[in-house]
Amino acid sequence: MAEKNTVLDEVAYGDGGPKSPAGKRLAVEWAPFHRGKLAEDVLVKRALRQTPLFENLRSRDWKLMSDLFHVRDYTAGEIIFEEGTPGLGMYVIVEGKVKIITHEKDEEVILATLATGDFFGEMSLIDEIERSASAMAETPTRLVGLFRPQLQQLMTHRPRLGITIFERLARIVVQRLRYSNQILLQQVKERDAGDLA
Amino acid sequence: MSMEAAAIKTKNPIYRRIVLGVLWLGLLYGAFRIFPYIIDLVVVVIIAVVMNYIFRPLVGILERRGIHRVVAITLIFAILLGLIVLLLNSLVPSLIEEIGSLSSNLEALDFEGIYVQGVEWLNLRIPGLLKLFGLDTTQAGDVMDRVAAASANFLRQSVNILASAANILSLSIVVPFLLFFMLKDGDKMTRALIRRVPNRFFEMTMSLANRVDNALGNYIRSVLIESSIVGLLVWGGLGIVGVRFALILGIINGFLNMIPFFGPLIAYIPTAIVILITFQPIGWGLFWMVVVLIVAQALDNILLKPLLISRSTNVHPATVLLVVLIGGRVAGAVGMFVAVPVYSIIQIIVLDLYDHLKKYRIV
Repeated sequence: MAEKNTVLDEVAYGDGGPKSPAGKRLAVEWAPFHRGKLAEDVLVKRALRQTPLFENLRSRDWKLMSDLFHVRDYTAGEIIFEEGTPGLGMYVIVEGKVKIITHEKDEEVILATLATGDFFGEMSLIDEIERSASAMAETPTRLVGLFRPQLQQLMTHRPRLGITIFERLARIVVQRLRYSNQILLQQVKERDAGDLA
Repeated sequence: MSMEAAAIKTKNPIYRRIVLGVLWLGLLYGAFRIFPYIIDLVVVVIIAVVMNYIFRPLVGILERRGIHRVVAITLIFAILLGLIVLLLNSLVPSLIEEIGSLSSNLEALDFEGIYVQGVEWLNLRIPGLLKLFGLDTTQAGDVMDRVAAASANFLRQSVNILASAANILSLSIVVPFLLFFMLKDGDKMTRALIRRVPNRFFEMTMSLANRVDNALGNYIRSVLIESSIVGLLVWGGLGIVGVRFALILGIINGFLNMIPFFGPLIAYIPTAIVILITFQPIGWGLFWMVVVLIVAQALDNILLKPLLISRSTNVHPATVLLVVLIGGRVAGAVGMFVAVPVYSIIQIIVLDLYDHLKKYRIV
């Protein structure tokens, strides 16, 4: 049975019918046409605002960005991408849970379980590197994807906004690099302490 | 049977391949049968797609300068309309005059006389050669009739396609209409199509669509720029040495340049005919023709091709010949001109598709 889509239902029916972006109630005959787009916009906005990459964007920039995102639905157990395939972009979890898995000696190793608001695959926005792990939907999941071709398109058409996104992306990558360095340093210290002992 | 073997067998059984093969063959056969009925529509869509690839970068440049997309497209349409009017006013009358003058010159030419002289000349030098082909001077009229009938048929076929497809209504209304929406909503159309792709193929389709779009855009723009420059070089070169109808010859050379290897060679024929009819002394005319065409081709091969056309679109000479013949069979002269570009486009799509299917481990 299909799961109830809470965000969509809230937007479409929650407070007595759909509204236009300006807040005015839409005429009944137009509602079915607007509902999908309106719901999707709210959905995308709500999920993306939680990520450091897209927080605090101006409403004009939101409009531009919303044209670049792809919303995808996955069933439980469905593969989002496979380890070793070329990376194309990042995903933000709108609803559901995602397992990041790798294989060691034919055994599945779960590296992380991500939930609403989390994001993954952001390194692929910079370069076409192979995916270092696979991603699988653990529950019925809705994701918002932003991909390299669209980001490049943004850089060409709206360079200022493109640079803002790239700056934030660089900051996230630097943070992750620092975190990895800390772990590496800690491991080296532990090994040295063990050698001394 | 192990579970693994069973899984492989269920995943890709032989009957599934056979069914898929038959389906594909049926689809190809159906497309081939339907093609003659929809060729005018196909031509209109192809023209709109080609123009979309030419003007899309311009829309991008204007949009980057803060101009709204619809305003940018309208501006481009206005400039295009102005250029068309300008061309109609300046270039077309001289072109019509040149074509009219060339036709009357061709009509005045004694083809039968030339044929008889040629056959006698050959007969003197290589006796027996003509008997081998069953030719003699008495058949001059018959041979020329057959050549004329074949040429007329070939031209009629081309003209029919142009007349039905590129008629005033299609060109002046449908193409701009299609082009406007392709330029305005092209990205949205692609997004809407990709949205319907199953999750398993989603990333591959996105990447493939992007690669093919870039490759096609580069290829179409490169071929058009290359052919235009070659056409301009020939026009300028022949014009400087005083060959009449240099404009028509420039256009013919530019168009024929779209056919690799053979196109530039075929271009020698109409150029030589025009020089034989109009230029005095003929020897100098032919000398200048060879110089101009060789310089144009040298510049094309040394400078333009390496700069513009990517290596991925290299086509083998034998394939070019076959493709051009098929193009001529399907759509006359128009088919011959567009055969190699269309083949190259299909090649780009097929190669990229195969590459992506492998990379994404689908095959």
